[in-house]
Amino acid sequence: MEVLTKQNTTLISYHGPFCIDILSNFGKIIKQFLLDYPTTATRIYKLFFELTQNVAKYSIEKSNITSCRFTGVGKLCLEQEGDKFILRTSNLINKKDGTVLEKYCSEVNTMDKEGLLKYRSEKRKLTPTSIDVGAHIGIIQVGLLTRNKIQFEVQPLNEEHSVFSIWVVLSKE
Amino acid sequence: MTIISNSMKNIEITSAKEAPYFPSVNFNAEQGICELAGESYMEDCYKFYNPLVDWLTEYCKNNKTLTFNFKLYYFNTQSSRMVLKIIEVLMHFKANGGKPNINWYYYHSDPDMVEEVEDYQRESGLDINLIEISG
Repeated sequence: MEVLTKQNTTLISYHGPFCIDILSNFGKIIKQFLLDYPTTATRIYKLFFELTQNVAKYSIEKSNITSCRFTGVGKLCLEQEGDKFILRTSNLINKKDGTVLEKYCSEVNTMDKEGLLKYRSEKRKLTPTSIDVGAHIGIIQVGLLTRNKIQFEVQPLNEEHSVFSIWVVLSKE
Repeated sequence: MTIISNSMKNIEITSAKEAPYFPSVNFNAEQGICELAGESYMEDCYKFYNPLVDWLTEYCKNNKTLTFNFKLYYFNTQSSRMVLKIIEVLMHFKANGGKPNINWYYYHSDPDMVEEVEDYQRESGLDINLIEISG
């Protein structure tokens, strides 16, 4: 029976504003859920904040919560699949930014660890520019932490907007 | 003989449970010890860090020794830019004859932190003592 043998478990699923206090609470939950896998828990915790803070800052869908500076709305999902964890975020973007985000992710996926470390150092020294659609140094950090290729997808929604999804797969350690 | 002329106010910030994204800060001019502890992923992190960088720059102008304890167990990439600014102040301090003693505490379960610190070490040329703690 599929239901009994199914190894997939959704640990966290959320759709709403990515305010810092909400994220902070999810962070605590992640640590609790993954107690048996300390190294992976630490890695997922870091990945979680890199990915979700990008949604908070750069999602073009905003909530009207006034207590947070960054109120981007998006989706978040943490799943367990056999000996792996999958962490995914999705958010609305301007269609024109899709190409840039795809370029960032593809670029990171072509680099080895040494290349990524060097690239992160270079980016860290720079002040983010107004033409930056965001997330760049964050995506480099995601590439370094995941130990796997970054998975991503830009799904056109209408003439103006697309949905950007990014996910990482981590082995249990 | 090292002359210490400190009229600087110490900085003491305690990390609050309801805002764990701010680290606790203890910059003590009399003792020559600075400590950042906890996690750092606040919004607009430069607003939090710029006064700390200014304090440190001022301290380094008037003193010759300093112990800096990093006990940051998580910091996001935006905060990592501000950590770099602190490291740069310590670099100048050393270049001007100062003696920084830099300790970086990290959890056993966080091998990625070692890489991150080694990265700062490589960039700055500073000696950073990596101290593993259990957990």
